[in-house]
Amino acid sequence: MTSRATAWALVAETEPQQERDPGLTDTVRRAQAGEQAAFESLYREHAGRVYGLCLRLSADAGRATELTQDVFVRAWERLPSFRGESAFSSWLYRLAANVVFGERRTQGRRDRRVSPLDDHVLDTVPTRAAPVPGLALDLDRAIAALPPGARSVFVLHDIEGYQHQEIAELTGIAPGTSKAHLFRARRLLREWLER
Amino acid sequence: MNCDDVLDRLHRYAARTLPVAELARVEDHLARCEVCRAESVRLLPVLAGAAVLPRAIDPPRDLWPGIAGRIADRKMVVADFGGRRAPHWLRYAVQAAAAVALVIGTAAVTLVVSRSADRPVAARSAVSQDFAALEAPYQSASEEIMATLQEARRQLSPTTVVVLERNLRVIDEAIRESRDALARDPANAALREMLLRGHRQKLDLLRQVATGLTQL
Repeated sequence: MTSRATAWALVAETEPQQERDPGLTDTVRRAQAGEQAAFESLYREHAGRVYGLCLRLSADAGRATELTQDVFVRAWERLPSFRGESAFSSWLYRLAANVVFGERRTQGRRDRRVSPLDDHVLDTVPTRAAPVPGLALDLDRAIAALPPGARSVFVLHDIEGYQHQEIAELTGIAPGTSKAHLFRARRLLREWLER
Repeated sequence: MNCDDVLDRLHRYAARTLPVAELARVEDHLARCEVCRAESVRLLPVLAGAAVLPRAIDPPRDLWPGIAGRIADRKMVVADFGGRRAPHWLRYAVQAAAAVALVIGTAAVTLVVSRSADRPVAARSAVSQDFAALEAPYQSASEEIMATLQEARRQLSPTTVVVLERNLRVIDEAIRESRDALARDPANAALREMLLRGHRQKLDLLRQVATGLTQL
């Protein structure tokens, strides 16, 4: 037996599995083993949170619906790689952000072939932020009306709690750019809500 | 704590989620720094509002049926090579082979032309024997590698073994579907090629896993 296997066997004898891997609940394990009913339970538990994240990042209810489905399909595919060191929810919401920004990078490559889009020309919030289905509150509508870069960073930093370095890794921008986007988002939102 | 640090924590200050020690340092800075104090007065209403936004928003409809349909098509999951970083080509091979298997299986069903009722039983039997001879080398090679992998399965995590076995079942099922379709339409060259392609893919997968194990 290898030293790694020996060490693992010793740990298994002395420590309950759940304490070692807190994210590996019974439902998660069953889903990892291919039980679709267990995965449906996970979907029911986390769908609202995932959809909320996708909706705020995309500001598009139709797109958010597609992205939410993509997230859960990707989660099903990646489940065996989840070791339970963090909560399942943390792993899932991080995966959701990756799906959103992965899709955005693909779309960006397509858009660049058609016409360039400069985020800076959208540096003012429209006088009337169009309603987005599912976002009833004034603040949510204002967030939806932010320029895409500023909106992403505001949602990730001020709502979801990511640090600028994490945002940089997710979105492909520099941490300094992330800070600039956050400054701009906060300023625009303040102006909007002060009207 | 400098101005940048405070501005970076302002959302958590507004949400009252800062640890006690950090809260004290932020408040100390705000008491001494007029610029940050003015900025916080302007921003706190926005950030306090953001703090109480509902994180969960119900989708406009139940998305589970669509998700269930897509994961049922997959029937497989990404392999985990015992926590060690498997070569990209090896991870791809495990996924790609099963994806090909699904395409083969599905296409085989749609390509079946039900002419078997018109064909004499004896003729069908002769074609089956002919085809068994074509499959034999692939089956023999696959079995040989499988025997080798059985010896080495201890090197893989239990999850990986489950995943690989499941993916191989998917591939075998696709081969079986192709074989059944071919039995009903033995003259169909596309089906024949599809079946042989399934065998080749299975063999490629097994060879790559066997080779990959030596690199872990």
